[in-house]
Formats: sequence, C-alpha cells, structure tokens
Amino acid sequence: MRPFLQMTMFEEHQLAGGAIAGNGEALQSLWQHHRRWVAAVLLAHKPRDAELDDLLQDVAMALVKNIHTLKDPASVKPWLRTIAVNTARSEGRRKKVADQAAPVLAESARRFADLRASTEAQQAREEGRRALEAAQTLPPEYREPLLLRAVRGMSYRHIADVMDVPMTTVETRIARARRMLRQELDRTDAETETRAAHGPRMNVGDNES
Amino acid sequence: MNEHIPHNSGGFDAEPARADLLIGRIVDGEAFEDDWNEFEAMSRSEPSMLVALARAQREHAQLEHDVADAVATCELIEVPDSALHGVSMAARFRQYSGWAVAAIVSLALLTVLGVQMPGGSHSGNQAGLIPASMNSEQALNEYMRTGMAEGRVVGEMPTVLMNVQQVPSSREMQVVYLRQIVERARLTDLSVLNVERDEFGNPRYVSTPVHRVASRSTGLRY
Repeated sequence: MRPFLQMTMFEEHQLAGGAIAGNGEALQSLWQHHRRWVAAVLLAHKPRDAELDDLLQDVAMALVKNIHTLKDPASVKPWLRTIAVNTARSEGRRKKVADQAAPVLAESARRFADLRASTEAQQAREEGRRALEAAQTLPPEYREPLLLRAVRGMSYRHIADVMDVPMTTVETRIARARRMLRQELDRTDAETETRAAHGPRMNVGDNES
Repeated sequence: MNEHIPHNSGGFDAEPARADLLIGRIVDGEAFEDDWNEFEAMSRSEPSMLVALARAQREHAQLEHDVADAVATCELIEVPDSALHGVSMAARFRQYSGWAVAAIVSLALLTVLGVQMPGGSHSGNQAGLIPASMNSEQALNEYMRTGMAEGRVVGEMPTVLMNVQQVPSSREMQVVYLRQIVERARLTDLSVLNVERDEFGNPRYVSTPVHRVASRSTGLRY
C-alpha cells in the first residue's frame, strides 16, 4: 500500500468503486488507505475515556456493512468521515444513556473513568503527548482539522475533501486552532510553573483518621 | 490559496491574522512564492514573526509526533475477513433479501399454526413431561414455557436476520437469524467495584454491596 499522498484521485475512486461492487480486496485496500486519518477524526470527536481501537473497529465494521449503499465513489472520504463522527458521537451518547439508566453502577464507572482520564492525561503528559492533550481541549470544529493536519501526508486539499468544506475554511480553522493551541500550552506552562513555585498542596484533613 | 485575506488580529470569530495564515502555510508546506515574499517583507519590519514561525513549527512537529503515537495501533485494525472473500455479505443480502423475508414469515406462520417442520414436530407440549428424545425446537419451547411460568423468562425480542445463502447444489436457502430471549433474575448478593485510593495514593478496587452504594448515593432500595 502506497502512502496516502501517492495515490491519485482516479486510483482512489477506482478503489472505492471496486469496494462498492463487492470486491473484498478493494475494500481492504480502501480501508488501509484511509484508516490513519479516520483514526484522527475519531481522536477529535471521541469521549475522552473511549478506546480509539474499539471505535476504529466499529468504523471498519460499518464500512463493510454499508459500503454497498454508497452511490458515488468520489464521495467515499466525506462518507467515511461521517461514519467516524457518528461512531464517536454515538459512543458519547451511549455512555451518557448508560450513566442515566444505571445510576448505581454509573457512580463507580464514573469514578473509574475520571481516574482513568486523569491517569491517561498524566500519562500523555509523561509520554510527551502534551501538544495532543492541549489540542483536545479545543472546540471540535478547530480540533478536527488541526489533528487531521497532524497526520503525515494530509494536505489542506485532502482535509477539505474529507470534511467537505472549502480549502480556505480548512486553512482559517487551522490558523485559529494553532493560536488557541499556543494559548492553551502557555496556560498549562504557567500552571506548572505556579505549582512548582508553591510546592505540593497539603490537605490538613488527609492526615486525620 | 493566494487570495487576499485582510490583516486582522481580532478574536477567534474574526478572520485570523495575516501573519498567522502565512506562518500556517509555511509550516504546512502550502506556501507559494508570493507567500514567502510577503512573509520575508513582514518579518523585516516585525522580527518577532520569525520567533512565531519557529514556535509554530516546533508545536506542529510535537503534535504530529503525538498524533502518530496515538494512532499507531490503527495499523492493526483490519476489515473483517468475511469481507475479503468474493461477493460481500451485503451484496448477497441484497440479492436474497426477498427470499429471506418470505422465509422468516413462513417460519413464523408454521410455528404459529403448529405445522410439522422438517426434522421437528408440533410445538405443543405436554405439561410436566420432558421426553428424552426431545429435539432442539421442542426443548426451546419447553424452556420458554417453564421459564415464563417461573418468572425467569420475560419474553423474546424480534428475530434479527443475519445472513442468507443458497445451499450448494440445491434450490434451498439457508437463513441464519438471531433469537434473543429476555430473562429476569433476582439477586441478593450484588456488588459493584469501586476504585478508591490507598494511603499511598495508589488506585485499588474495592467491592461494595449494591444496597450500601444505593442507599448512600441514590436512595434506591433493594
């Protein structure tokens, strides 16, 4: 499989056409060709504590199940993006409904999720994913093009095709996103410096039995 | 990409600043000759633009690295094997969906009317007797009847069609469908796992009876 940029638009459409017609190998190639940016879309829209791999698997299943409904091979990218966004959002709704339906279990699940999210955030910082952590605080309309641009080989044109918006919109959103990212990084840096200057906070009640 | 975009350094709802757009194009490898020339001219009068460019490049490289790291495992996610063998299941479904609906309706009618199925028998049961020679259909019917009487079986969800295939060298169709039976249970020893922290601040799992959690946090009674 050649890298993303090296496949022409014509080849992409051929691949999509084959997949729509029921060619299994074309479908596999189509998935391998697009899955990296699909993962970035999921990363931009998924709930914080949802597993990226699980959601990506769901998108792959939806692709296999629904590819025959795609009328135009040229629209495969926005179609795939819609599946990814819906998958990520329905995961968010599912978690919300589950929380409402089972308040007892939800309490422990929420505590676990909070703990896991804070642990993941901590791990992300420790593993050097500080920029991604900051990017995930941005509004989704800015977060998505910024994360797509961070996938190697994704140009403004590719991002515009995926998001089905004009290229100038992609460019302005990325420019705004970068400014927000810079401010967020400055803010977290300032917080870290303040914490370092004042030392760890001690809660008096912690030592009481 | 070289259309005129007014210089504006307003908030996020306004057009981004011209400098931000130029820096973005340079960082993203989307700058044309005119963009480079304009950036050079601007940075001569405003040297801080060079610092801003360096910072933007560093942050982009960091974000690119972070995203590559986060999505690295996506290379392991493949489409299911069933999609790779010839005509897709979806295409087969389209071809035979009419047959499938007819087959499901027929199955339902035959069951309701108590007609003898191939390899099966009447769906009626003799109360309290479970013959040793009972087939799967009879056993399921008996389970449903006894389960409902005990209050364990609540009912059955609508049948879900999963796959339809033509049986090789035959005019028959094989219909695979999902039957979902809803059960109810009453438990006296139900616990949930909570995550708490020990004296060192490390997370640990603690099993807590549901009635304690419920009475404390939600007011539910069991």
